[in-house]
Amino acid sequence: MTQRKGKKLVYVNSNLVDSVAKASHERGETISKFFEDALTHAIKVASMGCDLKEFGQFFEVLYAQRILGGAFVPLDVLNFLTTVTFKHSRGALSDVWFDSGVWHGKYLKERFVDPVLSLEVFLTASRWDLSEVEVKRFGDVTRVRCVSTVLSEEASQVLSRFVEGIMHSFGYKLQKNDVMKGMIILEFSV
Amino acid sequence: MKKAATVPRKTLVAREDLLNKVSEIAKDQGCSLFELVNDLFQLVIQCNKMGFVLRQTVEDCRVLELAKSSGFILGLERLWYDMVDMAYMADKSASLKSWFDSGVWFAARYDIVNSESFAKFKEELYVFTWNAPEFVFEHEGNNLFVRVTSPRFTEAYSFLFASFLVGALETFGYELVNKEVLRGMIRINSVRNVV
Repeated sequence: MTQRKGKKLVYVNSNLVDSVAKASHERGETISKFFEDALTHAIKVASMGCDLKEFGQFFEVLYAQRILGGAFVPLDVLNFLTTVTFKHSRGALSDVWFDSGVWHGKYLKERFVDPVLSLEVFLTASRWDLSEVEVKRFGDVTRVRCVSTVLSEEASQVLSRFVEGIMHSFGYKLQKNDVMKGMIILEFSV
Repeated sequence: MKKAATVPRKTLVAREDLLNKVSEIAKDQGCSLFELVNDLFQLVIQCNKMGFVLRQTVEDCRVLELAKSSGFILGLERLWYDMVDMAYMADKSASLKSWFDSGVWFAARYDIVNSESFAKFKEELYVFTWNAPEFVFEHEGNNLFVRVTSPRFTEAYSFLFASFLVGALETFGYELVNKEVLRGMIRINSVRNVV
């Protein structure tokens, strides 16, 4: 690496440089300016505690939520809504969560090359009340496991229906369902 | 021994302080500067394909971080409305209290005696209500007028969100003068208690 008047040279993959040069040209910026801006944002991303690959996945999720009509709701309110509606309209509540899952699933299926793997990122990025999310394939079986220390029994039940709806959109059938307070283990096969 | 495939490389120039910082980040993340800069370029290309610039995506993703620390969860708007409607129908007063309490909790996170906190509260609330095309706070002396309009809000959601706002405003010392709530429309007039 050569050093010159407060500037440094850095090696970059040649193909990527060409693509980025094209992007900077389209935006009417020099590649040097574009590169320095990108470095500044890489520092901001690191300050958010994630690496660039994770950031790219999170951004895809946020983008998907905007497209799908995502909205924020206070977690306490969501817990309240779940408890009340679970008590009074359990069947209808289960249906709306399943339908919402189907809706999300259709979008993920169109958008991602491997929608099943995208589910893990999707849940991790949008459901931060979950402390652990794992989507794994074992031969023909795909297992989805979610763990949370704050999820109530009712919230676990409706979230499992949401995941079922998503997997249903991907063409999977539920084989095993083990849901309890703060723990969801679902197994699917094609 | 198998010879490692060589990646064609080019050199780019950038500010030394930025590269030094990024180099430290690469070290922390257990990768080389070359790998990290390549990841960065891949991200730039990904954003570009989606019609965004990196600056915008970083700001957007900060929203997720902010929501996480503020106790908000992201989901499908339609699903929230369905649940809100069901809960409101099942137990109206408990629903209103739940949203009011949530507003109190949200506002209490800020240093309410500090005048700059209210600006921060407003700014963050705007972020979390990206589903409302109109969300305006207007100050007139000690009076504060809040206008929220969204054609997508259901009647129940309008009443409950108004309850959330009143809870938050009361925590900041604003006393409710009057409010008008219709499906998709909230108008709140409150006055600041001056001690």
